[in-house]
Amino acid sequence: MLKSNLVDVTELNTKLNKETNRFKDNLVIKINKKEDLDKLILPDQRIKGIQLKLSLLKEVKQLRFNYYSIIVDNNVEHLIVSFDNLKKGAFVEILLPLTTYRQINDQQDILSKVNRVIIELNNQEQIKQLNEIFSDLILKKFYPFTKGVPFCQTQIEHCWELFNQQNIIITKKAKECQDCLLTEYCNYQNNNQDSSQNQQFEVKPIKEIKPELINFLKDENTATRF
Amino acid sequence: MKILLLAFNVQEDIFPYGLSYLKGYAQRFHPETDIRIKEFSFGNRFGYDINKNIEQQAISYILIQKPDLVCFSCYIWSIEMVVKISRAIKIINPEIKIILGGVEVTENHLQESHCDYITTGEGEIALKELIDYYKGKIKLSEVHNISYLEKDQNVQNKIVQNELTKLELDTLPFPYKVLPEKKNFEAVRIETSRGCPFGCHYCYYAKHKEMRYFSLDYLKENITYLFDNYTFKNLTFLDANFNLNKERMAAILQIVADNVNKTKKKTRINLELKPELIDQEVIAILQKQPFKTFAELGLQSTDPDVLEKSSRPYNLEKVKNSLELLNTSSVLYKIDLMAGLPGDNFYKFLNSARFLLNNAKKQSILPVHHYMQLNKTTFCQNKEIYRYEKNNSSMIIKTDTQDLLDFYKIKLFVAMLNEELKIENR
Repeated sequence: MLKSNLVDVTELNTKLNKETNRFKDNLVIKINKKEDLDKLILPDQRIKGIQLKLSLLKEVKQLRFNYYSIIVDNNVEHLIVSFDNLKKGAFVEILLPLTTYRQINDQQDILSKVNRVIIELNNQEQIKQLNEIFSDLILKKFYPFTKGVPFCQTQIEHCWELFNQQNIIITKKAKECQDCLLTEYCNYQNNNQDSSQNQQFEVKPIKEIKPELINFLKDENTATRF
Repeated sequence: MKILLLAFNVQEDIFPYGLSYLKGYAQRFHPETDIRIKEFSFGNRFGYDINKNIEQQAISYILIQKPDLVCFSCYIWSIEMVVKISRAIKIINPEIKIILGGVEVTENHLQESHCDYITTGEGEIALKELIDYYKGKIKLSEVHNISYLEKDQNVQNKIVQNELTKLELDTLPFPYKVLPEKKNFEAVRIETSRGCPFGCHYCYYAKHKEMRYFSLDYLKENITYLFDNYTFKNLTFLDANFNLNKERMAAILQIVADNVNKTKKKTRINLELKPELIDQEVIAILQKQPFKTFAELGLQSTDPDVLEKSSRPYNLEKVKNSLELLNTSSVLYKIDLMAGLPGDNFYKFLNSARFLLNNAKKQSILPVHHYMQLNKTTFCQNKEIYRYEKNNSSMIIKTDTQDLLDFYKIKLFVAMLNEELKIENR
């Protein structure tokens, strides 16, 4: 996927080049509440697009962006109607939990309006379903993307984090990860005190990687489009 | 003697360039021989109903014409159809002799198609000498550039491979002088040379490393004829590396420029260029012309290991510089990647894609091809490469490092990326 630089709307002005009156490339503005939309500068200043929750989508009627990153939670009731608000021909990406994907995966009228599906997983049990998820996505002509899965638990080429190093926060790693060759790049957050089923993955250090993967990751923070 | 030269095209309205060479050369030596060209266009090669209709039309046409010999020009998109048509003709009327020609044809097709001969080199010589043979002037074993089956003492079919030889290019009649009928085409094509000095294992040209050239006098006379007698909007030079020799390139483009200025024809020229050989001088030559230029460049990969396995010479720094020059010039271009070459993997592909996205700034999409193993290329001997169809050029399904699932995922990834690139360019 092409690079997107996610910023809060409150930081918008800091990204404006005062000489050119243009924003840095690939800016995607995070809309957290309805009021953020009011602060949003009109798209003729060339931002890439916006990221927002599905529930806010109905508020963007008057604003026409070329790119929408939509965070879908468990409520998909108005998903299809919400898409009608979007600019025709816009690129639409949806980020949704696995359980939500299962609710909509046979609804072609929704998925036909989407260009990219990113499925969020949050526990080891869900990893076992990856092959099924991937085959389902491929049949629907989507490149399979997951989010939240540690690099050691999946094929890295399907990790959203591989392409969004500039948008992730590298946290303090679990002891198990200390010898991992990808410690600097993986955003796995291990909370040892949390015994709930969510947020739990069985991590292990990656001790062998292809050099071309490191080449790609190293370049991620440079001013490239991709 | 009556001979039909047939080809099947995906597009409508294509000048039969290759077949015109065959007819023109043969008729120079056999002016009394009735040689007819017929091309069929079927649009979408996967249109089952359309294809079946075309096949019936072609077979019916051949049966009505009752030729002594039918020559089929075979391409990737038509070989399956031609093999079936050939077999059908031999069943219905075994008296009609059939020869299959073109880069796609191999000895495997001899059995499958029931044809009498296949060409193994330049078809112009093969056809001319086959006519000599049928006239009783030479023996079959003396016809160059063909292979055929012969029953040996044990009644087994044995493949006979006759000697190969090449033409002096200037002895070829200019195709556009051979067919006087239609003179109006959207696009015309010409070649100014044959061969390629580079030996890329995935490419058919690697088998023809010896470069041969049409003389500048030949080109001047015939390009002028083309401009004086034909109407077209696009002129494509078929040469694999048009910028191999800068001086020659400049001279040929000057011939075109003189004709564009004289006829005032609004023309776009399409060329294939080797990116490493583009410098300020080449750009200057291209920019000063009174016509628009579109250049096709091949990169395939930026990974040294992949390129080495393909025996493709490269210099990434030079490619980068070339793209920088092209980006600030008036020359339009397209530079491609090829996914799935031996030694490739997804991350190598990502790095190659990144290189192009960052440097080929005039491109609004990322053009990526799924490697297709072509007949008669060096990679056909590579036992680690498997392709979808056994005898025909087709997409690969497995290499030493990847399989079809990997290739399909890359295809989906690129499609998604190109959708995203579209919005960037709005």
